[in-house]
Amino acid sequence: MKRKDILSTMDSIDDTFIHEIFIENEKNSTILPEKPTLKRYFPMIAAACAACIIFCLQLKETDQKKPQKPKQEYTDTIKEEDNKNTIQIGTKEVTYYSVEQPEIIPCDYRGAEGGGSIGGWLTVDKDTDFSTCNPTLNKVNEIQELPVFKNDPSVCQVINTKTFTELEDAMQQYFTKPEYIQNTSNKYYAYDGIDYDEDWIYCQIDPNKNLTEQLLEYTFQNFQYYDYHLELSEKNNKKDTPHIPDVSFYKITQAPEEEGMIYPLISLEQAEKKLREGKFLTYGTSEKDVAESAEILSVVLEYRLDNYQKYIQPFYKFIITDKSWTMEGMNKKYRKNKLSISEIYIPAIKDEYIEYTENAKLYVN
Amino acid sequence: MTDTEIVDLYWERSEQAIEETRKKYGNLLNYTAENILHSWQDTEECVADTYLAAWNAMPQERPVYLSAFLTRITKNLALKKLEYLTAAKRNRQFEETMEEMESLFSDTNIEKEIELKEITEHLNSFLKTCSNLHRKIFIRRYYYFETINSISKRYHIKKGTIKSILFRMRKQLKQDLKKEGF
Repeated sequence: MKRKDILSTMDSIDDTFIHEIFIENEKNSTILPEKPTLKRYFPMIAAACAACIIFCLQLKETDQKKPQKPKQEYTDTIKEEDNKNTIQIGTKEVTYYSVEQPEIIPCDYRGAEGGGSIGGWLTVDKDTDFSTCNPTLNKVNEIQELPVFKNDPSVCQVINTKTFTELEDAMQQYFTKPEYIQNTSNKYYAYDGIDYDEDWIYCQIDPNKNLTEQLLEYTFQNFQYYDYHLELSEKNNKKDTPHIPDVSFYKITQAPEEEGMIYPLISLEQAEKKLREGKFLTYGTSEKDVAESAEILSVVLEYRLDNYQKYIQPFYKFIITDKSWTMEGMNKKYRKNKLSISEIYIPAIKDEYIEYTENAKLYVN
Repeated sequence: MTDTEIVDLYWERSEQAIEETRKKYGNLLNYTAENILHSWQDTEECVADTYLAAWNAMPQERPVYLSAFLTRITKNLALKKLEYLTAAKRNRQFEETMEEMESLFSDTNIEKEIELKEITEHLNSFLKTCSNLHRKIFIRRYYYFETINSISKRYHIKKGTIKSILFRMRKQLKQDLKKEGF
């Protein structure tokens, strides 16, 4: 096809697709949501309240027929001092309770569907050891329950970086106990195999705390820095020159404001069974095809901090690969030393306490 | 002001139409031209020419989406300008995007205009099946010529991931087109 035909094809794209970019630009959109204001959301809150009342009335009617389900209010559950746990994360004190019957919470997922199936979602070096700061690596069986927290836009923030000084300042202000800082880095290659992105994860974990508390520290005292300077520096033959390009950004997480509730978790064996049945959440489409044969490279318990999650809840995160993922399409020269992998997420909370949103149902079914 | 109200102003031949277009779509048109020309001065000229072209075209046309109508004009003007400017020197960013698109359509032979229309229909259907995020990335890259770096920064997604998303989409679309006999 000639260039002018290609341009003409792209020019005839549906008007609505072109317009949605205008709408997004106008909102100055990033993935971060705007802080909600009560006034703006009043109609939605009113509608939600009405829906809740109708739902509760229906539930009351059906309650007599169905077996009892947990129905306590998330924040109104019995909070006895005996059930209280408190942990200091950064400058915040985080409290969470264990209750007899926690409320059912929604589980959402908006990873992107479509786009073909040519292998795993990410490309890494073959010798990657998948080490992580996450303290649950190889220890997921030691945890049978974990707290869940209401999400809040301040929990996870993404900030564009302009200079190294800005980055260093942010790091210094962020960690209250530098002696407990742990860090790890990962390299991800693009499918052209030529360049890669690198991210660093820094977190503050006190090894004297129990595993649950360490996981909470890892989650809520976490500083991630995404950087592409190596690729650009190499291209410019200035490997030693510190350089921050305009695509660097960092992500910081802070402890949630509200108290959490403890939920029971499914076991690793149950999670693996779900993996093999293809009942999982993932970014790509090729993972379902290899559910039975995939090789599991690592597994951790990890809280997803997507802004669309109403509750910050734990997932089993499996890193998998498959023999059929041959990275067709990548230059052979680069393919030799690379491995195609994917991340699989399985909600860790027991099924009876979560309800999949319509978005998530598309993935787990 | 709504698109219909702005279009009405054009039809009334009111000069306020251009001012209202500039207010509402000035940023989008700058973004469109800048992605192709990478020069503020050329972008300014191109956007100014867009208002004039819209003024001349409007009495005959009544676009539903002014954004699409105007950006098409801007793009065509910017591409013509680029062709003139780069007669001697290639524009690397633009060439990269074009090469990606050429790889997508490399096996596609077009003999009649009607086939071009069918391909566009397939492309639109394909984009409808994609997630919102994927579709936006695709449109930003191949309609608006936005750079990978800029898309990566906009969505806070790794550059490699953006490239992989685009690669997968091109591959899937290519397979679909092949199935349909293109």
